[in-house]
Amino acid sequence: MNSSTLINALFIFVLAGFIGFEVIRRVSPLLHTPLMSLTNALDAIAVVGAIVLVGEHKSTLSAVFGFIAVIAATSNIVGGFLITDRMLKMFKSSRPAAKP
Amino acid sequence: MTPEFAGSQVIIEILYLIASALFILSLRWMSSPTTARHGIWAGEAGMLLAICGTLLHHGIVDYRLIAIALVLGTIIGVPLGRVAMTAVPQRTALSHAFGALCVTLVGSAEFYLR
Repeated sequence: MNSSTLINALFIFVLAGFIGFEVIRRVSPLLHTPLMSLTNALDAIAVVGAIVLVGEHKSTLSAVFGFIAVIAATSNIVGGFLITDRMLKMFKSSRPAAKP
Repeated sequence: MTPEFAGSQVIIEILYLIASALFILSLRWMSSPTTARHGIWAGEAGMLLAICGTLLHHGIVDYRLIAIALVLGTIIGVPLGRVAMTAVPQRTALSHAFGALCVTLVGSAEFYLR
């Protein structure tokens, strides 16, 4: 890795850190659990790298690793979005009773 | 990068950029109860764009294995999304382990291919 790549990566890392901090700083305590599930679904974005690994099929080992990785990440995406959606549905039904 | 692939490469990068913006908006909207539902939509749209963009990648030759893995992952994921509400903390912890497994395997495979 040359130094300009490293500097670019550090720029992205630091700026992303600030974005992450500012985005979650004022989350309502009510939404902590759905936010955990949503970030769980979003962190499965690593599926992108896994799909490339499987698709390129450069060696058997990398294809097998990628295959397992795609399965794990997809189960996270599907399960994470489903359960976040279910939680928010529960909030909707109980909110009129809490705040008339 | 050969010229005939430059076009699709640009499209992929733009799709990734839109997906990143949607993910940030998704987390932002999730922080308030009134906009939380938009947060899920933005997250799903971003994930769809990122996966579609990756499938356009010119190096991909084997779509069959990808399709099998996506279907198997969905079959595992649906029961994980339907657990009892009291089991959600354990489910989230297990799911984070799956995410870590995915990242570890991708990293190991990339290291092995060097």
